[in-house]
Amino acid sequence: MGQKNSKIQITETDKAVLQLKRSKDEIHRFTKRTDILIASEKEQIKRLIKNNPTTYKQNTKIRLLLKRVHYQEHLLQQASDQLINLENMLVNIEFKLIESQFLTGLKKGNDILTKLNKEFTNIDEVISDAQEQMAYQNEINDALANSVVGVNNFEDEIDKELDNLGHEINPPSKLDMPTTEGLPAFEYDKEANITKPDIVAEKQKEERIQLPS
Amino acid sequence: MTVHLELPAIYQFPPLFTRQPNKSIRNKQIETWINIILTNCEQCKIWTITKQGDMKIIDPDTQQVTTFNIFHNTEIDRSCSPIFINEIWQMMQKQGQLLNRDGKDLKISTDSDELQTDEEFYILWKSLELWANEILDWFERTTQLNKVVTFYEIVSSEDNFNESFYSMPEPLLYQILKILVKRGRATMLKENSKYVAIKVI
Repeated sequence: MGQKNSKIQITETDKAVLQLKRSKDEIHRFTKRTDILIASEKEQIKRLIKNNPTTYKQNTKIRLLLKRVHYQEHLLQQASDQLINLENMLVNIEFKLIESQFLTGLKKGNDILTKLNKEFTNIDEVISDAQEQMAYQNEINDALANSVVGVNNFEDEIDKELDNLGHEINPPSKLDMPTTEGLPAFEYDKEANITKPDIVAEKQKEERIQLPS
Repeated sequence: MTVHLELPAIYQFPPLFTRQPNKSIRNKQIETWINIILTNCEQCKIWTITKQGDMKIIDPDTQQVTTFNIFHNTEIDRSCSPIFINEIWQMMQKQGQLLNRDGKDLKISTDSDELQTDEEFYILWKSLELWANEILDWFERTTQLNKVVTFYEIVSSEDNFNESFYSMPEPLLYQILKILVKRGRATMLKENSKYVAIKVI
């Protein structure tokens, strides 16, 4: 696709790790070989002892073999120790790499935080600016509202005109309708079997008749 | 733990060792032979075979080496002819199941008497690509990405005893890892002008 493959970098740390691992491999190889050697020599010793049941203790060959086996086992032990050292070293290196990555991450995060915080100091100015503008706008609004003279007088005149219009459109009735003020509460007359409104209506009829014309 | 061969019943059948004249039967015959070779190599972790068909079985505990020739059945006293063996190699190479030691194409002559050198081939019971995938999978499984790992570590470390690629010869591993490099996922490290380690991302 025309993309150039980005080369994977081999760092100095990688080279150091390679050296350590190669040493580990060599020790491992040595250990395997020696293990096999010790096993076969032990077999040899056993066989010789079997073939010389009476004289084996004095047999120089057997004694030599046994000494060799001991020496090799001693070497194996040393190799083991070295292997452990190498492994520890490798683990330490690995851990240090992780720690340094952690530090770089922290630093970068810090840088970004400071950058963002800078933007916030600007925002303070922006906010106070906006508030000023709003207050100014309100002032303008008020000034405009009060700039026209005598606007209050108009309110009273408009009220009067509306009243006149209202009276024209909805004329008040000429009949004096009796009000229910001062009348007793609602009663039910059982005997006469009429409700109070009827009783009241009766009373009202009387009163009306008594009204002079 | 001893490993032994799994030879099917047909291995005791004399005609198997005689090159069949009929083409379709011969093709089936070659297929059977390839099957026998691949199955047993995978079973006993045999990575190399000579041009004549000699294989070595190494007992993992005692490290004892047993050599035997797959094309020669001593029990029924039958062996395949060199011509026939060559035909088998040709088919295997065509199917990508055989690899020359340095990764180049094999020059298998059809000339029957040309068993010049004691050439050794790698047996690929899995294709190179498949091997590459499996090893890449191991890298990811054991979180070895972005780390330097030596070839020896991959195929000889006791930790990998149960892996399919344990005990693989390092030159073969190199051929397989080259694929990962080509994919852009790895780069190899040298020591004394020989590639010994790899870093996979």
